[in-house]
Formats: sequence, C-alpha cells, structure tokens
Amino acid sequence: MKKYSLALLYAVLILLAVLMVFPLLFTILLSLSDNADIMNGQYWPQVLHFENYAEAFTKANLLYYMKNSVIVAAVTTFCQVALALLAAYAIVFIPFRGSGIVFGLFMSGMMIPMDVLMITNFQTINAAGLLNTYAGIILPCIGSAFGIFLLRQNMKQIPLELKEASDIAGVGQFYFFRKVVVPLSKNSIITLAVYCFLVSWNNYLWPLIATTKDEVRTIQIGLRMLSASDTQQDFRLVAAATMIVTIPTLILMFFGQSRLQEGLTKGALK
Amino acid sequence: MTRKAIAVLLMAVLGLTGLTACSSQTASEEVAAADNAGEESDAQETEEAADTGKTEILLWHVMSGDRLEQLEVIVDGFNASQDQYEVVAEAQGEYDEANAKFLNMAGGEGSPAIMQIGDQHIQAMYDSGLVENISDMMEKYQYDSSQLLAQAVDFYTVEGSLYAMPFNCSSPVVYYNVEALKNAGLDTPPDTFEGIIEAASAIAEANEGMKAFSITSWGYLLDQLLTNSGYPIVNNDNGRSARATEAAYQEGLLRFYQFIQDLIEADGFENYGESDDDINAGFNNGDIAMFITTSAWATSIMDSAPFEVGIAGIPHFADCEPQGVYAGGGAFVMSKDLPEDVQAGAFEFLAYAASSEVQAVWAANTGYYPVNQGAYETETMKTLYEEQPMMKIAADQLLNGQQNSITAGPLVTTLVQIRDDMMAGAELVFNGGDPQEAVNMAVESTNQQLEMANAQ
Repeated sequence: MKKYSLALLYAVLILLAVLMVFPLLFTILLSLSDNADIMNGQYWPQVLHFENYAEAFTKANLLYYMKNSVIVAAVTTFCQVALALLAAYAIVFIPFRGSGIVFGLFMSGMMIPMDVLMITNFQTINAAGLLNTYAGIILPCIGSAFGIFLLRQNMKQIPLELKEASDIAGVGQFYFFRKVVVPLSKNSIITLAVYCFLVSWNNYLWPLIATTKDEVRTIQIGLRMLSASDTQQDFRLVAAATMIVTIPTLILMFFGQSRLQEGLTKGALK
Repeated sequence: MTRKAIAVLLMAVLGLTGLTACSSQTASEEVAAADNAGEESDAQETEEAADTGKTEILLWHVMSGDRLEQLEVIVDGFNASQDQYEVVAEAQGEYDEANAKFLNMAGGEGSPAIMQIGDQHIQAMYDSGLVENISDMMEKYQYDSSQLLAQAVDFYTVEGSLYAMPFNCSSPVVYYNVEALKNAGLDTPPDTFEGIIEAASAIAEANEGMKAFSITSWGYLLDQLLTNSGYPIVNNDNGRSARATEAAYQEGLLRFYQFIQDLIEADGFENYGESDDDINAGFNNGDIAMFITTSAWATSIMDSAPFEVGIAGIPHFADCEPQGVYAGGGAFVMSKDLPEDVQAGAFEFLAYAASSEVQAVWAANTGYYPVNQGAYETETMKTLYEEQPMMKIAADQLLNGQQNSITAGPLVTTLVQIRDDMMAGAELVFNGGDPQEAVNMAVESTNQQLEMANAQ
C-alpha cells in the first residue's frame, strides 16, 4: 500500500517536472534550429546550428547590455537588502510608539502593484533629471516591503533575551545589529539577495520606460530588440539569446538554491 | 531619548522608501537625485566636447529585429550623404509604448526631433499639440509633395494639413497556398467572403487535413476588411469631416463576424487567436490554404514556406463594391518648436527617408510598399516586381483603390482601443460566440472609451 502511494507520488512529481522543464528544453532545441524549419513545424533540428549563439551574441550586443544589467541588479540588490535589514531591525528590536502602524503601512505597500506607479515614477524620475541614468532605473526599486517582511519574520526568532543581555552589557545598537542580528539572519539575507537579483535581472518594463538611450539599458531590453516588429519572428535567434541571458541567473540559482529553500520556508512555521 | 528620536526619523525615511513592493518616490531619491545632478552635467559637457560639429538629430523608432537593420541602413545612408547633420536612432520598444513615452516627455529634455508613430496614433499626436504641421514644413523647405502616395497623405491628414511623413506603409493581403488552391480547381482565392465559404468544402476535399481559411483577431486587419467593403469605422465620415464621437462599424463588423460563424459551420476555419506567428506556422504546415495578414510580412512568409505562396487582394462582401484599403503602417512625426538647425536637419531626413531610391530599397527588403510614387519607377522596384510579381499585389490593392473618406481610414483618438474591442469580439466569435452579442459588446466599449477621450 505504501509502495503504491509512493509510485503515485513519483508519477505526479515526474509529470510536474516535465511540465516545468519543457519550456527550457524547447528553447534549447529552437536555439539550435534553422528558422525555416521552425516555421514549418520541424522542431527537432536536423543539423545543430551552434552558430546561432554567435550570431545572437554579436547582433544584439549582449555583452554590453549584460554589463548594465549586472550593475543595475547588483546595486539594487545591495540597497534593497541594506534598507530592509535596517527597517526590519528597527521594527523588531527598537520599541517605539506606532511601530505596529509603520509595519502595517509597509505591508499595505505590498498590495500596490508596480504597474500602477509606472507613470508617476516616470514623471518623478524625469523631473529629477534622472532619465537615462543608472540611478533612475535603480532608485524606484530599492524599497522592498517583501524584504522587510521576510527579515522581520526571521529576526523575530532571535530571542529578545539576547538584546536585553547586550543592553545590560552596554553594547550599542549597531554593534548588536552587526555582530548578532546579521549573522543570525544570514540565510534570509541570502534568500532576499538572490530573489531581488533575479527580479531586477528580469525587469523589463521599468528600465525601458526610464531610458531613451542604449547606454544604460539592460539585457531584457537588448533581448527585446531581437524580437521582430511587423514581420515574422526569428525564433532561433531569440531562443539563443534567451539562453545566453539566463546563464547568469542559472549560476546564481545553483549557488544559492539550498539557502533559498531554507530561507523562504523559515518563519513560515512558528 | 535621542536614540529613539533617531530611530523614528530613520523609520520615517525608510517608511517612505519601503511603502511599495518595488517602487516609490521618496525624499531619499531626491537626495540621490541632487547628488547625481553634478555627475550628469559633467557627462553632458564631455559629450559636447566630443561633438564633431555636426548637429545631432534624435530619432525615436520602434523597429526591431530584421527591420532595425534595414532602418540602420537608411540612417547610415543619410549620415553619409551630407556632413551637416548626424541622425541618432534610438529604439523605444513598440508603437504604443513609444507613443506613451513621447507624450509623457511632452517635449522636455531628451525628447526626440523625429518620432516614428503607428497609424493608430495620428489623432492623439495631433491632439497633443507636440508635433509640427508637416504641410507647413514642406512649404518652408520647399519640398515637392506631389511625389508622395496620395492615399498615405490622406491618411495622415488632420484638418487639412499633413501631420506625419509617411514612411513604412502596409496593408493586409491574402496569402495562399498555390498548389492547394489548384487542387481544388481555383487559380486565385475567391474575391468575396461568400466565395470563400463556397470554396471551403472543395479545398477541404482536395487537400487532406487542410482548412480553407483563417485570420487572426488583430483589429487592424478587421478594420481594413470593413474599409474594403465600404463600411466606415467611426461616425462623421470616419472622423474626417468632424471629430468622431461614436462607433459606425456595427453593420460591417456584424457581417464579418457572421461570415466567420458560417465558415466555422462549413468547417472551413481554423482558430489561431491573435498570434501571427502561429497562423504563419499553421499555413507553412499545410493546415490552412489561405490567411490574411499585413503585407509587411510578405518577404518572410514567402521565404519560409516550403511551397509556392501566392498573394491576392483582400476579399469583400459580394454586394459591396470593393473600395481598396487605407494606408496603414507607420510614419514619422516631427517635434514642435525645434531649434532652427535641428528642424532643418530633421526635415531633410524625412525627405531623404521618403525619397524614391530609399523607399524602393526599404520596400524591397521588407514588404512595406513605397510611399513615394517615383519609387515604383526605380530599377530596384522594377526588378523586384519582375522577380516576385506577388509583391506588387499589395501596392496595387492600395494604388487602384478608391479615394474617399472610407479609404482615407479612420481618424480617431481611441483607434488602439477600437481595434482591441473588435479583437475581443472576434475572439468570442472564433470560439463559437454569438456575432450580434460580440458586436454589441465591442460597440458599447468603443462608445464609452470615445466619450471619455473626447471629454478630456
């Protein structure tokens, strides 16, 4: 009986795994095909066209956009984590009047979708003269209610006695923050950083809106330039470029996967 | 106590920053903005220092992929043709995105001198007051506009003046599988919607697993089909005699939806939703014998299909005189109140891009048709039409059409939404919905949007 249910479980898992991995495998197949074959429904490449990758690389100027993306994603991640850490720390460890309200305000911010703010954000950035700068792309993205929430949940698990002990020992807030809170929140910090990096890396609309010149544009916009307008899609180039673009995120995933799973579920049960 | 005060202050600043999931406008931003202002002006100085003495003309466009390369040929050609101006082309995503951005920048710093718009945006551009009257410009720079395609000029004319320089024009055509039609005893596709229904069973019988016809739900195709059958899209002569205030496409759209319903009943229609790539793949795969999409796709469709592809004009209803199509596609607008030298350079580029030779090469490499009548006389076009006579069909369909308020095309601010409404209705009918209901739904939405837009 137990064996039977295990088999069922595996069957479901395998099915889900196939569903998840299919788009990726299909993209790899397309990236190695000839476009005429693709348009004719011939999805299994007869000859492997590795040159598609070279063509995508040069045609879309991917390296250039990738540099911009790395800068934007790294700075965004750093700022977001730093701000969320400080905010979460204040909410958990510094009792002040209305801290509950402040936290509630943060959480209500999670309910407002980015799209609603797109136009006002654009007007602000434009008025500040920040169009076509890294700052213009990064600034609206550095506050993260989700990050504050995640880190707060984590910090609440740190015994308050530790804080009291350090207060008695006369240790300053920042010392306690640095030496106790940050090390104990490491997993959540890494989770947040990986998540934030991925979101920033995949962001398309805002970087497009905040820029008019190619100089500071990110990789997703470069990718979009390969996608044809008013004509048939060159699927093999788009697929090859997509694969190239996913490489950095894949590396990050392999590096941070174990921490990511640990961190996301941490604080879920209390 | 002071520590607590600092904490509260810190929270206040952070509170503003963290208010939304991934975005907010804050005090800290403004601080950073001030910091950055110094850097930016430095950067600008170096840019000016590196200037080669040429006047820079900023051009925003929405071409990508293969089209981007073709556009770069034109820009490079212009820059090499003279030493006074340097056109800098910058891609801005898609028509609608670029349009929104242009309107939002409202001519501020970083706004382009020239901007490529889609046909759907001409009224909005005119309303914004941000773009130059091109007819005035033509007079100022003594440009002879008689060479321009009259139909394209008609389309981009608002209140008697031209407000955009036609550039990339296209119109829908029927693509057909020559062999499949021949098997069914047809040399060319039927001219009428009724004919397509009649031919449906013959095509299905002669070609195993093939359906007669398909079209995507793309609203642009639908309003071109109505135009060809003589139906207006909006009232007040398609918005040409006075500002459009409500939908006028009810009758035509109902007939088209009924045609789709009848064709589905005759088992002659395959549903591909709104995807042009899907319908193209289905055609190449031998699943459908005919389909309609824009002529801008001509080159790529003919190159990729493993069989002979024919092109024909779009069908009309049997009791309607075919009118032809309007000159859809895209055009260039010019920003208002440019510095004198930038304006002169921008206009020179517009003239260059619309010149016969440039238009001939552009058309030959893409499938758009030339907006300059002289282009049809060039060697490039003559050779093209000789080698691929099918490419001439798209142009002929337009050139031989009538010239009236119907074929001038709809002039209305909410054309984007109207096309969406038609599309939503079409999706309903494609999936077996009731045509009358679909039309009612579309009209209601169109009138609502139009009323709102006109109230502004």
